[in-house]
Amino acid sequence: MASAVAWNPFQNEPLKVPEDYEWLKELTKSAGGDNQRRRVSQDDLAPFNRLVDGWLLAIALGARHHSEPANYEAPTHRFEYGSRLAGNEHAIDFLHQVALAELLRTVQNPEEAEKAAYVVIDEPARVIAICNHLAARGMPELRELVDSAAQFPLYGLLRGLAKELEPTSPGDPSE
Amino acid sequence: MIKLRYAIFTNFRGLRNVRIDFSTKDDKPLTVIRAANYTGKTTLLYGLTWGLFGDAGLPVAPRRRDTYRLHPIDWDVDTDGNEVNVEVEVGLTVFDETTGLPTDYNLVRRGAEIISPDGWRPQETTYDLIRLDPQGDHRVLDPDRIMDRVLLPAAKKDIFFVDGDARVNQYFADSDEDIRSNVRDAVRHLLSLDVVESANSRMVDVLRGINSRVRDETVGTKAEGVAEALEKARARLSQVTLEQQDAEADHKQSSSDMVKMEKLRESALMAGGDEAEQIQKQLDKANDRRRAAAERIPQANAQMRNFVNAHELYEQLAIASMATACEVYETLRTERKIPNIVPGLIRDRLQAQVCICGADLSPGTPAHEHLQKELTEVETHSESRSLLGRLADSGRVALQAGGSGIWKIGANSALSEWLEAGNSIERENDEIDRLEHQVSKRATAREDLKIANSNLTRAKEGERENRRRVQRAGLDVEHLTKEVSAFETELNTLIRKAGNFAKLRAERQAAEDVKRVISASVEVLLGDTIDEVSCRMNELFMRMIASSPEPEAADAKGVVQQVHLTRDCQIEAYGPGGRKLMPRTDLSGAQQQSLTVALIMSLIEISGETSPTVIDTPLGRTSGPVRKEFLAETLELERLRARPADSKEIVPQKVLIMTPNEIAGVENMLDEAAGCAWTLSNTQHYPTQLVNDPGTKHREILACGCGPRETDYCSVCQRVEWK
Repeated sequence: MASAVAWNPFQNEPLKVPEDYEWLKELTKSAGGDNQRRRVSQDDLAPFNRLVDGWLLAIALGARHHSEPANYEAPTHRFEYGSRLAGNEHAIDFLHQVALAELLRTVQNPEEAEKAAYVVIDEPARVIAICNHLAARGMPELRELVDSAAQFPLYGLLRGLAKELEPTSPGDPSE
Repeated sequence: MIKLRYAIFTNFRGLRNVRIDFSTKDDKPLTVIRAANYTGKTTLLYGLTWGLFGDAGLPVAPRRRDTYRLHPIDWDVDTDGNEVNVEVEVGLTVFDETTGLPTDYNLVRRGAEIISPDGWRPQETTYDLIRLDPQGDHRVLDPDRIMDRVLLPAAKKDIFFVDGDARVNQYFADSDEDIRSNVRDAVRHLLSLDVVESANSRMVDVLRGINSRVRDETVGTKAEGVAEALEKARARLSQVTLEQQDAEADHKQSSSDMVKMEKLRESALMAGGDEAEQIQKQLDKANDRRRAAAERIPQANAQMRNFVNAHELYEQLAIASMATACEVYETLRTERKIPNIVPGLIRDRLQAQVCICGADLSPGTPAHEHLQKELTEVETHSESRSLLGRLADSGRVALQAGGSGIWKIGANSALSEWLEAGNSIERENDEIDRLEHQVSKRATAREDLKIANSNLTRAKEGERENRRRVQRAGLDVEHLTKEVSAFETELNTLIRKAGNFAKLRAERQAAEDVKRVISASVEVLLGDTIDEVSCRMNELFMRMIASSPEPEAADAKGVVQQVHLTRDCQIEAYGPGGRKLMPRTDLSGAQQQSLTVALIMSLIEISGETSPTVIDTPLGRTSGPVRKEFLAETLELERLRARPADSKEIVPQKVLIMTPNEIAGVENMLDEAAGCAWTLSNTQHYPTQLVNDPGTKHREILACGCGPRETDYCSVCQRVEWK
């Protein structure tokens, strides 16, 4: 078994988002681009340290919903490679787990489920493809949350997420 | 007799460009000038006395002219040049003493000042006198001759041009010696004793001449040496006496300055200067609190960002997916397709041969055999199954953490902290706005307080230094006087012995007798006049006291039975049974001012002069009824009312420079006597005291024809409190 810290099966996998992702860049501290155009003029107010953090949050939102929103756009732009995930073992485990859940949607019996569990650990490219798709699915909602407090995107986003996790929100098992 | 027609002030301190027309009507002889504190009242008074009397009209001795600036304090050398031309033009009408026919003159006084990086220096003061004839205007070639004849003697100007506040200080706030000296000076000026005293001085010269002749006659004798030494000692004494007089004059001036500065400081404190300091402190604290709240924001942002990027958040958002995946992992674990025992732990226990529950794990025991089998099984699992085990474990932990709601508690706390910090900033901003508004409203008072504090410190230093000079000069005079006296005695002895100088001795005796007569006459004249002034002062003061409704004054009525000016110029007050009171401590400020006003009015009345009278802030501390009594006396209202419409009698002009507080309650009396009214405004008082922007970049005094009632104002002089 590989050591937990060093284990990153997604090292060379392309992480993708829809073509229109400038708005996400504007919400990160170090995504580069023209600072003048950034919605968040000070790093201090940016919700994300890196683009990959926004991508991970979008995956979580995408996994929460089972279908694509009306304004869904396919993930066609590679913004980064999986090497960015190095050292983030929680994220690596999380990607495996949500990818498995997506695969399980179509299985019919326990044998197929077991097979899916092994597919997830044996085929990192497939895991990332599923996650890119989930990220694209979660992007519209992420953007909506950020826009809910245009002046203070960090505050708006956290407030929206906390609300999302209230007991009455859809997708909560305690509901 | 003269009348003032108008005065135009150009670059005279704050009076950059001001014209005041005076009432010349005999039935309405009063000109009232309304001016709040710090609005150029005293500047106007000194501007007028400088215009009329030259440097002798300034509040410093002419030889100290370089200590009293005339040019505006904010004069801009870069744009306006370093030479400031100061000018005061006074229009005068002179009435012939026998025919009563009027002749108009314009008196134009000029005095440039040169400003340099080191300070400024005054140039010579000059003046022109222009006679306005129907045939044309003529420059009078020998203006001094006319001015000496028509104008009040410079020595008497202090009686007719009065700075009310300063005068109260001179009579009540200085030391006993200063008070006596001030009152004595006033009476001396009143009697024009300067002339008599200069005759006395001339007699000293005569004596000196005689002594010189004595010296000539006794060449080669001892008397020659003594006479020479005597003259030298006298010369030194004369010089030291002058120095003593200078020092005393300076000390008097600096004492008066000090008291005036203390009063200004008191006014600034009353106007809210101290309060402004307190509000500024509150403002500083509010700024500190806002800074502290602002420093909490980046921390709150970092905290919120941590929660946005927390893996617990992803896991909780996708908790349904996590649960689905974990269900599969648990099934696999149940089917033992995922190891649930940690190999390292088993190895440790087998080596120790004791289970963590204390059971025996020695080789050969069933427990040992069981664990050994488990270990073999775990170690033979594939890497893939180990990874499945890791995912199963992390998934289980994530589900448990999601159920605890720790992320939600932390996130809500971070949101609250951010909001609270933001609200604190808002609250402090509101508080700061409110306090800044209050500070700005009191900005002038605060600035005045600062200036007053600084001026007071300087004035105290000046007073200390001058006091030391007076003491030094006094010792010198005392020493030299003794020396002169010793030489005189010795010389007289020698002259007597010589016998050849009988004639000279007789001359010398005669000169000394004349000198003694003159001195005695001065004392008698002074004494009689002082008695007269004392009598009138008592009469006026008791009338004013009787009119005051203040309880304090009522007490005083019972207590003060008489006021008296002694022949050595001390103001005394007496209570029932002739008990002596201390005016400085037993009389209130208002009563002291009433007494000062009574003394000023007595001096004016007894002088018999008909010069225009100009009084600045005559009634600052007095109550309404006292003000009414004063005005009735000063303006001679009864006499004005009884005056026939066709009367040709020329009535002396009065100019009163009053604050709005002094005017309150006596408006009707002013209306009755005033032929002209003016209001002065200080541009520095916008926007704290003035409603409208005066539209000038300079610190200056503006004059408009409004007043004296509160309802009389224009866009220039409208004050905040009249809104």
